[in-house]
Amino acid sequence: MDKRFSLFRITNTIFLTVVSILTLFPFLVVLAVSFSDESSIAKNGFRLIPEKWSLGAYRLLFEGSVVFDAYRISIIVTVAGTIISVLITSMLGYALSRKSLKYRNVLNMIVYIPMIFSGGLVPFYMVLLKLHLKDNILGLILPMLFNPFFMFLILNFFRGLPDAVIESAKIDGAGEFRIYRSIVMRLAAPGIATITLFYALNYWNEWNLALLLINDTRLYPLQYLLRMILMRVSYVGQAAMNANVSEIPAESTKMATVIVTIGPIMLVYPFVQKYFIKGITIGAVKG
Amino acid sequence: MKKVIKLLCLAMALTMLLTTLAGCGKDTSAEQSAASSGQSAASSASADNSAAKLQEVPVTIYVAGDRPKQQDEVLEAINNATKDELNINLKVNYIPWGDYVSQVKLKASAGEEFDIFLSFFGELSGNIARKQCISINDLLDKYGADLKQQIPQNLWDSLTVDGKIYGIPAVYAMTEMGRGFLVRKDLREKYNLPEITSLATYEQFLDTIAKNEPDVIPCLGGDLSSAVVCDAGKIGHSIFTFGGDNMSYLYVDQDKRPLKVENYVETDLFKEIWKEDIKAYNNGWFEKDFLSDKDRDGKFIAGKAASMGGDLYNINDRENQLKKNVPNGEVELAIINKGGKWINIGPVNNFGMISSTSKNPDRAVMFMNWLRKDQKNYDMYMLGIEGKTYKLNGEKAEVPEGTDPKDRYNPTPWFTMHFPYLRTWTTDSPAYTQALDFWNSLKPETAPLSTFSYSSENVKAEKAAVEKVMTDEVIPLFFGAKQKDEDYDKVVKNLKAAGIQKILDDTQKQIDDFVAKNNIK
Repeated sequence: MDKRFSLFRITNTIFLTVVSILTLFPFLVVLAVSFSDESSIAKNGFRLIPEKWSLGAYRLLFEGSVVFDAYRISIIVTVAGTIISVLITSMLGYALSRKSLKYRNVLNMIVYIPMIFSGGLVPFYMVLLKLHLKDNILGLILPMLFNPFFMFLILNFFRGLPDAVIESAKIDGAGEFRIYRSIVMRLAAPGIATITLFYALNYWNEWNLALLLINDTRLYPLQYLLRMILMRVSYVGQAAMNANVSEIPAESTKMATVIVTIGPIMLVYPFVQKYFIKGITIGAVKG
Repeated sequence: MKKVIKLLCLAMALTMLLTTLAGCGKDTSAEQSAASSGQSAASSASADNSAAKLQEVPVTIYVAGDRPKQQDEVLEAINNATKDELNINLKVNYIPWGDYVSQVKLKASAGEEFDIFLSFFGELSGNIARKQCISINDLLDKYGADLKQQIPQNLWDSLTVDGKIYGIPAVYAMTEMGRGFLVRKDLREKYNLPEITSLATYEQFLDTIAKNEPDVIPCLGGDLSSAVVCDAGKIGHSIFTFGGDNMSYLYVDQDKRPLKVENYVETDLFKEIWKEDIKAYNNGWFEKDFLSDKDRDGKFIAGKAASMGGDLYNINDRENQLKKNVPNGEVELAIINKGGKWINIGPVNNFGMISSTSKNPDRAVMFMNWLRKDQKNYDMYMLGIEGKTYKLNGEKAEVPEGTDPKDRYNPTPWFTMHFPYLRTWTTDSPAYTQALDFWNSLKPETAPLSTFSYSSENVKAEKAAVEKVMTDEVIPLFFGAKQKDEDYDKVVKNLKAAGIQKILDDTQKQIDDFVAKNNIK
């Protein structure tokens, strides 16, 4: 019998196909509900194939320029924030990974301590106010610029790189910055990809800073805006008097929100994924 | 390399020093602002006397809700219109409802400057204790003539602690809101049933629906207590029960003196309601899963139910949603014993406070006073610019052409809600307008314990034990699932074993203190 069609392979394939479909199922329900007419949800509950199709939820989300503005802000914050964050984090990580750096243990501790102890929300907010970050797009970037945990992650990655590679570069006449730029960053691509993804997700999903700092609707990031829409839906009772909320399709809005928010960030995954495989240093040092 | 490290260390040390200094700086400036606020109040008062021109100052308001698109435009119009009178640069910041209370607390404790904020009765004592708000007696005397005239005394009393007034109450329908509930008018008319105004007419409605509309739940939820209690033949108005998270177990009859707290489960009233709920349960008037139902609103607007709890504030919204699913559906507010006595059981729940971080509390109070001064001013804030964000159609407001009704200018009114000035919209449901008129016409009495707030500090263990009995045993009993007298006796016995007497004694002491302090006769 052909090995490709052994019983084990066939059952395995079927089993895994079923599992994959099952994992896809909730997502499909979300997608279906987001396109359903609210009244058919009220009548029949959630269905995989909506009885009545409707774009009402998306119309609500995308009406006016607010959502597009929010998309723009989110993308600016995510792109700019991620680039700067990765640069700062990797530079510090590289410096701390070099044994020739004096006081690196002290610096290590300076990074490490705030990881465990935090000043609390009030002092944090006071600092943000002092820096005039209120209603300022920088307020969405600066406070999240550096994450000690990601720094240690990349630091460990750098430590794993063979010293010999760096020494040989030095012998060839490369300066510290050149070593960092042309050798370490290239070799550490999987690590950099990881923290890039983490940072990007952090920036993309952040709404708390907006809650603290942003009053201007034009500066709302996407997540905050969507959270507000959801809040509006669930606080209908309290706000009934003042909000003319009769037009809000509750369930379908929630689901459409999910679809809208996960959209762009899902694109980052496949883009970053290829670096997880490449860039391994095996064979770089021989003998 | 070494030099770089040295430089780095130096920079680090410098930043640390700077941040410490910044921390200190914050403290002093907060003190200064507190001090200067007092001064500026005094100085501008003197300036006022000499009729000098006011300097422009910012006035910032924090409210909960969504920022309307037209907000900036409207604020600019207000700033311009009040140039001579107030000369303020008004800003309104919105925080989502769910985050509102904690965010304002944070902003206040971080010393952020703002002037007016919306608050709720549950926050009153905390706000005072944290010194988040200031007392405004003097400011009201100086600048609040219209406020004092427009707002009834009993509302001020709700917000007065030890003679100091801490908030500017909103004036809105709050009297016995539970005495009304939402009913499907179209179903009532289909069977030629009379308007629901008493327990008997409500029973008739429920029974007809149960018999003729198999797909419709007559009553969402599983409790007829307010219909029983408020019926003209029974108490006639809402009762004061409290003490539980899920269901109250303490009861005070505020018509009697001295005020005495009782075990609610042991009262005759409780037994009467219990019998009524048993009847409703056996007749199939309740929904089957009322204890676990999380989506009553959803069922009602899908047309699957004939009545549910709800009040004046829900009518428009429910009717609009219902009409989408049931085109000829209509909602009305049934009110039990309309002509009977109406009393305010609780305090005013929404009010505006002046923040302790405000640099210009005088101007803030002046603005609040301006808002309530006359209809014109109130409209300018609540409805915006005439012809642009709203039109007047007689006494009613109308959404201008070209604006989607749901995009109309719609600020959060609760820090300064004023029903006497509140305009209805031409799109409002007639049932809502009627109910609004009715509540506006009420002249309620105020119950002696309306501002009493109960504390379970001393009886935490007993409270936990009693609440467990309430949740596990009393609720199923009360809603008619358990019907035998032995069940009732067992519940009473278990409540005693859980230590309800100790809670009663502790509460009685609190009530006696309250009565003595407030000279209640």
